[in-house]
Amino acid sequence: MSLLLGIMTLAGNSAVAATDSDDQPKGQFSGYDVRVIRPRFFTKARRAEFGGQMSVVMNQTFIYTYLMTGILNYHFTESLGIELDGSYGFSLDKEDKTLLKSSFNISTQIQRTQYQFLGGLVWTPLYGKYQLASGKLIYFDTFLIGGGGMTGVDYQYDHCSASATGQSVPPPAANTKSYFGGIIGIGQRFFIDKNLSLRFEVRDNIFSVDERDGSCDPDFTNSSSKMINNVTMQVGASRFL
Amino acid sequence: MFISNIRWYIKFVIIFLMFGGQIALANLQNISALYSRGDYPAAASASFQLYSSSRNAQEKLNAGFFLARALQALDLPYSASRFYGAIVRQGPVNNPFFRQAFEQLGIINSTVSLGQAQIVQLVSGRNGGPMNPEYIPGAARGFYFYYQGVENFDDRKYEAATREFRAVPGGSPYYLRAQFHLGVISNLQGRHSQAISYFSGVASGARRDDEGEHLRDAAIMNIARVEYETKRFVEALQQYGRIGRDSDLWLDAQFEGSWAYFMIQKHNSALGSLHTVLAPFFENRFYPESYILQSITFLRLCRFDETKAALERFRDRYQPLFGELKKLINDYGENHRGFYKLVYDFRAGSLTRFKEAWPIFDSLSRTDAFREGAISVRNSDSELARLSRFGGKWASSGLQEELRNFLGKKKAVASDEAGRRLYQKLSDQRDYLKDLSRQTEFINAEMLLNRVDALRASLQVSTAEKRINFIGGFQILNIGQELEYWPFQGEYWEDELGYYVYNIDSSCSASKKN
Repeated sequence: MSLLLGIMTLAGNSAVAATDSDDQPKGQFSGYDVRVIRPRFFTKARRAEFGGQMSVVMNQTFIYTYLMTGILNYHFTESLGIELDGSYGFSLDKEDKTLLKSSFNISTQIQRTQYQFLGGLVWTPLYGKYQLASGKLIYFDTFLIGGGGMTGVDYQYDHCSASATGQSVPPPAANTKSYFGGIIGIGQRFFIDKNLSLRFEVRDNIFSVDERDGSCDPDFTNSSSKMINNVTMQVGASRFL
Repeated sequence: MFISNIRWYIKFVIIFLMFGGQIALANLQNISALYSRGDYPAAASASFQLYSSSRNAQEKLNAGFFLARALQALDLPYSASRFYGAIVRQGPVNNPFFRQAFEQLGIINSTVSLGQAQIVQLVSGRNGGPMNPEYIPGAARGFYFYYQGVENFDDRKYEAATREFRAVPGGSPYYLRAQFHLGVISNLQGRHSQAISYFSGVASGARRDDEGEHLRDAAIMNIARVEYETKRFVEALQQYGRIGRDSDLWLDAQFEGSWAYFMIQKHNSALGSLHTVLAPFFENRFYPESYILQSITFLRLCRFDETKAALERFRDRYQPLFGELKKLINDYGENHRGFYKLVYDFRAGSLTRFKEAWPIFDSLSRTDAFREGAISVRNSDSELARLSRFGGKWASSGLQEELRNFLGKKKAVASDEAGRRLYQKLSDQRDYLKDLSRQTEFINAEMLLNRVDALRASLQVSTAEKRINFIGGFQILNIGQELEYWPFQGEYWEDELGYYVYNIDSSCSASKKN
């Protein structure tokens, strides 16, 4: 499999030198004697993109969190766009958590991500193509995203146990609390045709929670913030309009 | 199908009653019963016995028609054409089957091409001249007039050919091919706009199957050639750009387009298109002129080293070919069938000799002459193989031998004719190559004698279209268009073929200073 990468610039692509009778678009790779110049296979400028993804939070020790994500994106140019996305999902306990509880009576305090509403600026600096052994070509681009948004964490207080601790106050009722934070991420689109792409990306959603929110006895716990990194892997498809 | 058979059967009975007064009723009744039962092998065998033994013309016609129908029903269309042809050659007078036989031949030819030699024989009257068009049945008029036109066209009788092609009815499967020929004739007669109009009609009306696509691309190529001939080079380039990558004519479009670029002094684009034509993907294709065009384009840019290099590449590639060409010309001058077989073997991938000449074999194997011959030979072989199914029944009546002889002869005629046309093209290619070789020597000599300026001046054939700029794929650059650029770093990517553009400047001012 061969791979060729083109580094895109933000400058206009169609500028033409006007020095001799056989002018060529200046564009990129002007140092080469022979170039390929053709209309872009996939254009994003002034196009909206919407799609769906399956997201998995990868860096949680005791639970699996799965989120369904909807994406809405608008590309101002080939390389710059804004993106809004919303995710909603659920978490499942890992075997380790169950084992700790059953074998050692250790209860773990968990922040279960239930939803995310995020937005950011998308920069696409790379556009390239793969050639498969069969000769088939796959165009792709690589993008970086940075922004922020709100993350909802579900507290179930299932680590609180009145009999074990001798507490007289019952734990709070399960509830979801929202936190603001920031995101950074990197992803790739693989273009199936001139309107459809498969997306793969990895993001880090960084936000800070108040530890008291997860405490079994919030009235007697001091506020203290704790940074949470939700590293998510997201796979899905998007369509350009 | 069933209704059509019933109709035909009733018709036959009426004709039979009208003309069959003196004929051997019992035999024909037996054949008719076998046919209506669907026992086509037995019906064919009995028909042939009667056909070959009867001395009565009407009886022979009846038996011949039954025989042709039975063979057609057995999916032996070439064999059926042998007997339909015999009926048609009897002419329309006192021949109740003339019309139907003619129509059936048209149908057979539109599905499995009968080959020009057989058709020309069929559409000629008994004395070898044309038939009276009044007798040609409506459904066969397209078939008849088209091939009459082709015969006149081949004899360069363009006025007569035009009349025949114009008589092909609009609904006929031969209509677009007739329009295509009308376009060619119009261009030959200097009526360029009319030629473009004919070709445009063909391009827009062609069917969306393989044959239709080929006809469409051929029509577009011809529009481009007419535009080129009338010095409308930008329009020609736009037409070349319509030929799709998967078309057999795509590389021709690349090569011819590079000439159009050269004419409007778009040197970088011309060299870019030639870069595609000379890519390793096409090392077995025959475009020797591309080296000459490359060298004179470099020459125009005063890039003398590159000019010499292009001429050397031409010599390296084609000099060894002359020996083999000479041998081919000598060995196959009297053996056209053998030459056809050679081209056939190349196409089939089994040719191991004459390796230097493979690019020429490749070019020959893409011609209509080879294609038509190959279809006839393949279909004949296929029917010969199917004949063995009816061995027992047909051997005793002599039908087996008759059809084997007919198909064998048809195959031989097809390969002889294709071989003759291919050999003629081989001779043309040899002369063309010799001519190009002389041109390389001339350019070299002029350069050695320091007459480059005069030579360059002779190449200033047209003014540049300064306002128009092209990107790859013969596309005009539009302002604001999003482009993608890839550098050529010595590695050819299949998807990039056709989109190369050179990025070099003229060295003429520098060479003058020196």
